[in-house]
Amino acid sequence: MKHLLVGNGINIQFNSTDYTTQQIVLRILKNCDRKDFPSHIIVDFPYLLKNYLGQLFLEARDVIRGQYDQYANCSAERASLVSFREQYASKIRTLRMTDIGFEDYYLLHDLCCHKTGTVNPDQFYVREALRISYLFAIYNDEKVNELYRLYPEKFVNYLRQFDSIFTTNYDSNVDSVVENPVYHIHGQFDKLAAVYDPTSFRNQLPDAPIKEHEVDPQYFYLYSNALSTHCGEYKEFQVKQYSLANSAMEKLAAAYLKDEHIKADVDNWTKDTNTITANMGYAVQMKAQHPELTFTDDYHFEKLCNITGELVILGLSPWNDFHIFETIDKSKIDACTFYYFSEEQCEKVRSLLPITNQRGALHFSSVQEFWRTVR
Amino acid sequence: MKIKYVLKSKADFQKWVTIGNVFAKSLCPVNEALKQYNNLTASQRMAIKKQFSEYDDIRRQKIPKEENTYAWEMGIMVDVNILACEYDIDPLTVVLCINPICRPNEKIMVK
Repeated sequence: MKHLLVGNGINIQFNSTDYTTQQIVLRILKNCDRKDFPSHIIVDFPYLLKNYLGQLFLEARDVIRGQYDQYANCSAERASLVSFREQYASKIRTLRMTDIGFEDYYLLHDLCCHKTGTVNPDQFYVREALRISYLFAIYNDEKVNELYRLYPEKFVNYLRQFDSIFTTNYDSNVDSVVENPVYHIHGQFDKLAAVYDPTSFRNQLPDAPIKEHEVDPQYFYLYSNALSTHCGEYKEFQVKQYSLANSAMEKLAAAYLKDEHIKADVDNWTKDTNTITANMGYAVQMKAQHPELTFTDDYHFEKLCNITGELVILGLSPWNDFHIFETIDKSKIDACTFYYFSEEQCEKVRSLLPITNQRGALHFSSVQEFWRTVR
Repeated sequence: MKIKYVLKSKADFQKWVTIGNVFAKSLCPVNEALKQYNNLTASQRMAIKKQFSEYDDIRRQKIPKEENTYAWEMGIMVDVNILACEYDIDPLTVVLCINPICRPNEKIMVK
């Protein structure tokens, strides 16, 4: 079996201006001034979003100077903070808003919330506004889904030789040119997030979130399951939570059907004033009655864990999403080829795939040379 | 357009960049900003000023009048950052173009 894993690099290859980190942040800021800005989905007054990003940018300097170290409240956040400082400390004097990668703004937001004592749901609502403005900018009025039209025939033929393709991109460009499965491991613009999907398990419970949200079909992609956070650990958590929830729910439903005491306890949970406990009770009852109901796992993480044969990695930065590399390193692949841009990248990949490297299964090829051959 | 240099005193230059930085909120060394300013063509400087004026108009429509001064200052800083990215210069250089102390075809020397 031959698998391919692709990232944002392939989009940048076919449009070198619009999909870089800098241009995406620039577009987020400029979008706030658009007359057709989807205020009804993102934020009522877009200037608030623009100004908030400005405020976060100013705080970034204090974050680099170590003045926020005390506000990082978990190991994932502390690791992100170290990585943030490593990336930006040397540029602090010339740093502009667009020089900070957008996902790093989530870290700044979380740290500022910890400092000011802002907690959920406010912290979550603002982060969601940031995330959706990011999706709005990447989607770029659907232009991002048109990039496949620029793919040369040789590149299309190259893509078609793989049995399956994994992508961290939300767009459907690769899907448009191949027939074999394409797995969007960080979600995709054309799949609704479970909270917005009327058929999801979550929306079968009495307090279904869909009752409070109307999906505007014009902006379907803003309600999608596209994942965006500042660190791999959080992405990994979100990706895995569906399969963990399904496994727990299956066990609880089995116990509910088998044991009268457990059944009585679970039935009592539904009367609890705590919404989470009550929902758990309803969910177990529902799962027992409808075993086919599952939390939909749209991130295909298990498929990535279970790949065998050969894996080729193209257009994926080794500086983000460490959880993907950890998964690959634990997999049973015979060979892994990483298309590199610089020697520095090779060093990083060797450190991220130590087991694969030790057993001599890690290989490198020049990405520039690759693009020359498929043009 | 013919380029010529104009001499400015250290005090005048310092005042210019200090006022500019109220809006740019930049950490860029002032000599670097001056170098970038002098390297911009007259048409680039005028285009930056014109584009900023357009952003200014939008800001007047979008930010409610009752908002505090800080919201306005922040809005200016963000717009200046947008232009800085588009021209690949520092935000302070952008503000220097918006509030110049010389003609567009002139470069500045500090004595």
